[in-house]
Amino acid sequence: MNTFGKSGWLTKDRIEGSILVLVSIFGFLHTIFGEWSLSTGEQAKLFPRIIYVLILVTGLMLVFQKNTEGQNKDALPDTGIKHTLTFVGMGAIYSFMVLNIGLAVATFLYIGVMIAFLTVNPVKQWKKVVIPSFIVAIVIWAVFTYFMPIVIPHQLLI
Amino acid sequence: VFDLLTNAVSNAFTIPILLYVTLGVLVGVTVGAIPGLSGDMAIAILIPLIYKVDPSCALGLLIGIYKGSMFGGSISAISFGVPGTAAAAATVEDGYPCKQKGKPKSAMLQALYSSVTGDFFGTIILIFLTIPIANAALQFGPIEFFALYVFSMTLVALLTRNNASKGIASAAIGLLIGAVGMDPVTGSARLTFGIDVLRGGIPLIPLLVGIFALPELIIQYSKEWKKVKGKEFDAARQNAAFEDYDASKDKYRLKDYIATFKATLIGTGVGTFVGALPGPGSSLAGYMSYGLSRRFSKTPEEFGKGTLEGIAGPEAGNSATCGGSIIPLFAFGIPGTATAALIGSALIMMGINPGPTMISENKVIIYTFFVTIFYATFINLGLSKLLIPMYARLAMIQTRYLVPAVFVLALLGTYAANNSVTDIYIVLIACLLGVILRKYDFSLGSLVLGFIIGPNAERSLRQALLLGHGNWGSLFSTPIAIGLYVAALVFMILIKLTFNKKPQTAKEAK
Repeated sequence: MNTFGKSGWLTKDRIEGSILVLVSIFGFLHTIFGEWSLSTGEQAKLFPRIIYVLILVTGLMLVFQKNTEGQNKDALPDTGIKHTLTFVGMGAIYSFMVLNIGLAVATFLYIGVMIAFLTVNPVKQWKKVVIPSFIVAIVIWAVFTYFMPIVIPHQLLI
Repeated sequence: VFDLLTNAVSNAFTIPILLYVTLGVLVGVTVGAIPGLSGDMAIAILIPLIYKVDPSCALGLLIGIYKGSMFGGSISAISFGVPGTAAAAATVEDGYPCKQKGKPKSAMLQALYSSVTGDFFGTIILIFLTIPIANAALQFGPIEFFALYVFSMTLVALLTRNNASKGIASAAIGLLIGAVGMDPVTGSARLTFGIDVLRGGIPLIPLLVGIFALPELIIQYSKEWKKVKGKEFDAARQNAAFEDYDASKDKYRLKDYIATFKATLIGTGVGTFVGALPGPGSSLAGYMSYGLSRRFSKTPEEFGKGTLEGIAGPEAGNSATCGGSIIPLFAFGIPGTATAALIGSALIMMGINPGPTMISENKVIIYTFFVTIFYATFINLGLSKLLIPMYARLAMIQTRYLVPAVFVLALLGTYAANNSVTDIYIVLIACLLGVILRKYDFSLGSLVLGFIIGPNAERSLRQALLLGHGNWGSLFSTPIAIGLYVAALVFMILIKLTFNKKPQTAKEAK
């Protein structure tokens, strides 16, 4: 859990706290010197300033409090940046495909690729990849075309 | 009042509402039984799809999911030792050993009956307390409401497990996200950083789906990825878990229910109280109920070895939070748990603003809801008892099929709400934020609570300052407000004293 060594000063909590402190200082300065709409009065900046002060205080608390790393079992030690970016990136590609190729084809391709990622020897087990993808794509296409129609511009295919 | 009640009862028992509640319970138990899916996730995904549905039907569906998922989580906790939801984490302590002792059916029936009992009493308390509290809240002005929001945020921070600083920080991030867009008093744009689409604020649905549903999918996806790449996947072992199962040799009798009733009552009391406090949630209620049931048990040494009391306490505790968490939502507009926050969001989407005036403005819908929430408990009992063996097998659905399908549903559902591509970008960005915050142990429930109450808190603060001619001392000018600040201070000291009293063992800390 502790990337920086348990005895070192630079613990995970302190890094998180420092980031919060920096964000709050940037935000607070933005409320003073940033470009705001001419119609935005000082009163509209009051609550954001209070929030930034709150974030600053919590950041400082994290920097100076006892190290709490590893206490929460709900934190996500298993989730690496590679998995997260793959997942979110695939989501962005899927959205692009839905808007440009079509709902059914995009869903089939997306689900097929995602299942293949999680299958040992996907080529050998191609039926376990293709058949479920096809069924899910058909069901999703029917639901969002006939039961809860969504408006999608520029569909090349279905 | 009699006419209103008659109207509510006749509404609540119409076929569409009955069907929606039944469907909700089915969905709730199903998602609860599958590790990695949860009631919160199902509600977040369904909100964009149901906000055009009749409010009574939609609320019936959501409350069915809420109740069903509370019991559903215990199914995989007992079957595999893996809690289906965070709320069922404490159930594993005795549920799984009980199954290993050859009593899976008894364990599941105990979980079901205690869950339903806790839920039943929690619901009764909800029905009888909400209206008087809401009536009292009608006397609140902006000064009192602001004090109440401060009190709630303090509790959220203090009761966030392990780290109060991160609890406050999460809530503050939620407040900040909620402050983006129009200023609630003057209507001028702020915190948009020149991005025009943010002038209307961050939309609720993409934020909820991105924060609650998608990070959980990424966790499941990552775990499965590691198994596959590490060649650890062993479906045969999982299938073998059911080979020894023989329900006919495993009987649960009335005397078992009576013997565990004390633990069930302890769980009910703890769950209702904890549920009504903003922040702690059903998981903490489960653990607190487990600890107190053990402390007041005649056989505390049996805990951890598969005793039914160890299942009764946490199951009654987590289910009793259902009713408890809705009391502050309806009375003050402040949700008690993350799920109640999602239900509050659904109400807002349907044009119903949670708070003290909600009941008087939507009498028929709210009274219909009270009847619905009451009978949903019995639908949960009947359906779950009938389908326990089938539900247990649901936990075996493979992640590789489940995750992509649920992701597609979440993304398209979000898009369907407004047919807006911007919402898709927001959901993906919110997902990244959700993953980062969860990875670094920040509470997502606190963030959503901050996001929801933020605009009202700001409005109350600004109105209170206007009333006091800009004098900050006016925030402390009424007895109720002072009482709430003092209560926050007392809670702070009590919680600090309680948690610093003695060093905990690893198991107690968990």
